[in-house]
Amino acid sequence: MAKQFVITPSPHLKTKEDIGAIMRAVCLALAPAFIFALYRFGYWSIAVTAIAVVTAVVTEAICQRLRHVPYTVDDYSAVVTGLLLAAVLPPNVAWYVPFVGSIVAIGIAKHCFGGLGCNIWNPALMGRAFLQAAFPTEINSGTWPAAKGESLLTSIYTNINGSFDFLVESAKQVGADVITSATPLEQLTRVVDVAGKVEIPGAIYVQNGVIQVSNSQIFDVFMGNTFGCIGEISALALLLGGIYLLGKKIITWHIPFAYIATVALLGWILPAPYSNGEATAYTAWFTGPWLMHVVGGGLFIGAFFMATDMVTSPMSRLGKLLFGCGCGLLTIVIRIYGGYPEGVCYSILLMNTVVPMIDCWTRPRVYGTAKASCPKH
Amino acid sequence: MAVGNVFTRGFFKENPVFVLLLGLCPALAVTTGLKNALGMGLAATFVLVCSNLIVSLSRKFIPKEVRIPCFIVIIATFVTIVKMVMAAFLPELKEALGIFLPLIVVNCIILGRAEAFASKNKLLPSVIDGLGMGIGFTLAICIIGIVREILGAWMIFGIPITRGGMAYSMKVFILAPGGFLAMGLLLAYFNYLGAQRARRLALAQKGIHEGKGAPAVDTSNPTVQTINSQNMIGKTGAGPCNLCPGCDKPNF
Repeated sequence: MAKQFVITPSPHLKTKEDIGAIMRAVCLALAPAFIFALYRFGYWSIAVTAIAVVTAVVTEAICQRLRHVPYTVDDYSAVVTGLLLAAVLPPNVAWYVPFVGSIVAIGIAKHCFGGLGCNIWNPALMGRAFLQAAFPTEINSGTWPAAKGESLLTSIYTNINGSFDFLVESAKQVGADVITSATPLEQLTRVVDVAGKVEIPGAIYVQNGVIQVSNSQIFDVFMGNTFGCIGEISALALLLGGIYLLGKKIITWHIPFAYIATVALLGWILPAPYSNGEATAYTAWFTGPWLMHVVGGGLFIGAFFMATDMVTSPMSRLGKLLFGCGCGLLTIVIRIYGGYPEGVCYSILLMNTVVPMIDCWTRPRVYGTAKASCPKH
Repeated sequence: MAVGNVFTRGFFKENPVFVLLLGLCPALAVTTGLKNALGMGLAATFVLVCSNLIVSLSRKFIPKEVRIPCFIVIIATFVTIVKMVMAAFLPELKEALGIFLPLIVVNCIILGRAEAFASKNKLLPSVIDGLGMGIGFTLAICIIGIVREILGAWMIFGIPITRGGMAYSMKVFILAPGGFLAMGLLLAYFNYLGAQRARRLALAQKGIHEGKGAPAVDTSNPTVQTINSQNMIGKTGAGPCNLCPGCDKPNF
């Protein structure tokens, strides 16, 4: 009886879509990445994910209890935060890393700022940034099970001489159970000029002032046949999820397109530092390994799932394009010239900070009214 | 004002760090561990007591126009004494406190107490005020220090809590961002305690005993009758609660 008459002010547009439906769709879109993680990294990666999700949901309930606001844990937003946080953690981290990360993400980054819809920064990325500062050694080292390296993808593409396959083989030869290795982006930041003598198959090196990355290496990284965090290794799985979200009209193409295009363009243009044995030299302009910058690291999960967070991204189309370009610029600058091999997390957080400004600059003029002015300082 | 009240108000009610929000610079910068916090707190307390003493003695003949430079000179004298004593007997602590030891000169608490209290009061209350405020400051930065040391290094006073306990430490808490985080969380907690206390006091004033059976009904005031512990929880925006005079904030 209570639901029979809904009295609201106009406009009387009705939709079945609500926060829960959107968040469930995001969970579904993330499913391929986590299925791939289960298959590549084994059960512990899913246990890490479960710890992150359960902690996020419990923290959300506790925060809402403390703040005397209605419980909205059933809208799946905390689940998405937990999933995204786990996606950018290395597999095989200790249990307390996702636990602490989820508490910070939900408790500090979300509820201290007013809860869903009021947070300035993406909660999952804030959790990741906190963990980066709190547990630098745990976050920056990951191990990969060697036995599970014998996977479906590697057996199909047996002729691909990627670094992952090489390391799996080497690990088996010496009887090791797990591998630890640099991610493709870490390899990119540490490239050296080997004067054409490549001793490790699949290694990234510099020759004649140009970073040499073969198509097979890029294909490996795109398929997820590489090293990286739980949810970000397979660009293919994330692309499937991103296309699903685009198809469901939960995200628009503006942010991912602007983000990925800027990274590709600047990754191609900008010269990167490398060691030529004696000193630091720079590669030539317009020769960067742009495809590796696009498929390697967390760009796809950042562009499709994190930068597009409805709360922390601009509202207008122009604003979204600007936001995406800014994220791309910061990402590539951090990757090539910064101290960290990966810049997606910090670039999105920094651009989240200026979203209110972008929103103000790009606010469309309402027909028949003067242009709204932005507050000065 | 009663001397006892002058002494104890710095502990909680007017705690310089958590209530007055003064002296936050050392409270954030040197609270990486309990040892540093204690050292800084005791040094600041010594300076505070001595400067309050001298300011109070000389309050009659310091010209009003140049009182701030005079206070600063007095404070700087005692900071120099502390610095030299520390250099002679506790060189490690002096090294750890670094620039923040000479910076006690510009600590807002010390100048604030000289300006707000010592320059207007007699000798004994001024010294007691300095002691109380100094203990309050020491207490506050020791709380921050112990929280940061436990979370950031899994140690208390430089001694590991468990064997091999470094595994659980979050290094961010002994870095600058952790200082702000720990400070913010502790402030939130103390504000919460303060709000609880104010609420209890307001309820007690109205003759309502929260959570202890049926509320005492004040028949002379009809608005109070509807308020009891049950309907105060979980109701947002249910109109003004009328508990505190002059406040029109909604009922929690």
